[in-house]
Amino acid sequence: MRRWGIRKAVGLALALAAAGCGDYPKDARDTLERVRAGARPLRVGWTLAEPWVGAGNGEGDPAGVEPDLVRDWAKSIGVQIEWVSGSEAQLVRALQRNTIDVAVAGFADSGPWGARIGQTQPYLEAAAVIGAAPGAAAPRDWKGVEVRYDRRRPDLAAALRGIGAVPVPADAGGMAPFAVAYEPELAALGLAPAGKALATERRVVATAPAENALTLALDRFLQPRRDEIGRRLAAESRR
Amino acid sequence: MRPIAAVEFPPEVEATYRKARRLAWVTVAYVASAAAFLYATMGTSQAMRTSFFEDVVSVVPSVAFLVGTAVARRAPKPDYPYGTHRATSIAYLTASLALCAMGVFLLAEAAVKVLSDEKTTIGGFSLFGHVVWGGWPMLAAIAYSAVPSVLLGRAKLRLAPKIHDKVLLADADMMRADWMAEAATAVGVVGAGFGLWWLDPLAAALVSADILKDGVFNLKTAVLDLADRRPKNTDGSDWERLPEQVRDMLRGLDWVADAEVRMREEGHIFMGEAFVVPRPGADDLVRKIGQAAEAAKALDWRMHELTVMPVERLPDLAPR
Repeated sequence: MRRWGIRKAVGLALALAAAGCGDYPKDARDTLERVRAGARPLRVGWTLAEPWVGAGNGEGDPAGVEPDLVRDWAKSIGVQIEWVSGSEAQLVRALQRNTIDVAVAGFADSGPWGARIGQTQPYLEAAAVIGAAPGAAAPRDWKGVEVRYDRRRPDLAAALRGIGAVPVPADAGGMAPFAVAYEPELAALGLAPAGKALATERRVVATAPAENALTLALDRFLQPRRDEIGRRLAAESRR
Repeated sequence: MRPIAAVEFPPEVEATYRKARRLAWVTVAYVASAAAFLYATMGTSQAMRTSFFEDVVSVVPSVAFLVGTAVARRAPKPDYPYGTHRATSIAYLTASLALCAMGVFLLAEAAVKVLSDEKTTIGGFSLFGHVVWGGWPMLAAIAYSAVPSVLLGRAKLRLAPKIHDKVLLADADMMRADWMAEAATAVGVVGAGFGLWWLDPLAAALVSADILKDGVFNLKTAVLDLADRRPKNTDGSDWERLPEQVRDMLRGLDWVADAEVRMREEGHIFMGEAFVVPRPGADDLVRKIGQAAEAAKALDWRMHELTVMPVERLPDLAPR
């Protein structure tokens, strides 16, 4: 009685493994296989989340780090993209019900959606830090100090509130004397790091749940490009 | 108050007991290292927090065994005239509760997974610059975590009846719960790779039901032992024969017309009373009673204290 459990488990595992050595892991709904075969385009959901996903050129397609990554990946495997815009909650629901395949919305691996949706490995570990313009001396305590942030990034303003600083919305041109940005962006903005990281977020791309082959293929594309993505983010800040 | 004699295990029991303590220490060390390994492979996810909680719960019976046996073997003192053997029963209760908690926890986890529409998705994992399928390192972590549980569980299962230690038995059950849960996770991971996301909660639910059944059985035994139920053998499969052996031994004495015993379990040992009806004309009763008590103790190392009481007739409703 104490032995049947492990035998059954090992037997089942071996049987399953033997059954499908060829294409393993698989998608629950064969998404990767179908888009590769050209049966349908890859449906990619997006929502505005600076600097990861930006508004596009007016034709309804998004711009920015994440849309570009997905575009490059789709091109590399010869797949057409159909862009679908919606709020983050709408995208998550759509992923859950497989009405879209991939979503870009500046998702972090610590997001509230848990295992309801799939996600890639973090493609970038981005620390939000306060930078100081040349000649500006960083205070020991940030309480009550005015710190600028890109007005399109309300999440960074929230991080400033967390340390008691006063967030001041600004445009990319007017970031002196103090401003918060992601570490790879600082140099491009003419700032030097001043103080510790406010928050470190691990960025991921969301996938439809149980689509393992799709997620793995995306990971195989993203992981070797992590350094490149950091540089791409720095270029993004000059927009 | 004048305490009972200190318990000394016979040499072979003492050796087994030391071995069991070593196993418990090994368990604590290995669970700690497995937790560290899981932390390294799974990152800061919800799954990681869950497995950390599981590890904490799974180490409880081993810790209960280490603490319980150490306290139980303290010499009786005037303030603790019966010694501190009940510490073993309390440790057993603690270990049983941990086992129940594990079962309930795993069952609830599987239920929540299904109800909140969570599905296992396993993508890539960066390993020395290569991206491999994340399921492989997970299976390696699971194997590392499960294999020692199988070995430790079997060793504990073998030792427990020899030292009549139910805490160790509950600990063996926990080891079994541990590797069965790991096996269920492995089935879930392999299944996820085939896109069969429902295999994970299903396997977990089946295993947790089995663990919960074990936990409830142990909990029931622990509570009934504390309520001084008639003693059962270590794994609870049958009534303990020792009370009958003592009774039959007493009935066999030439000066005894009839005898009955009452016995309770205090951790590793038994204590109780014997009522003997002397034959008419039996003389030198004080010496004979003393000898009878010693003879009872000689039957088994666990028979620690027997009060022999001469009576005119046996108590009305004798224990069956």
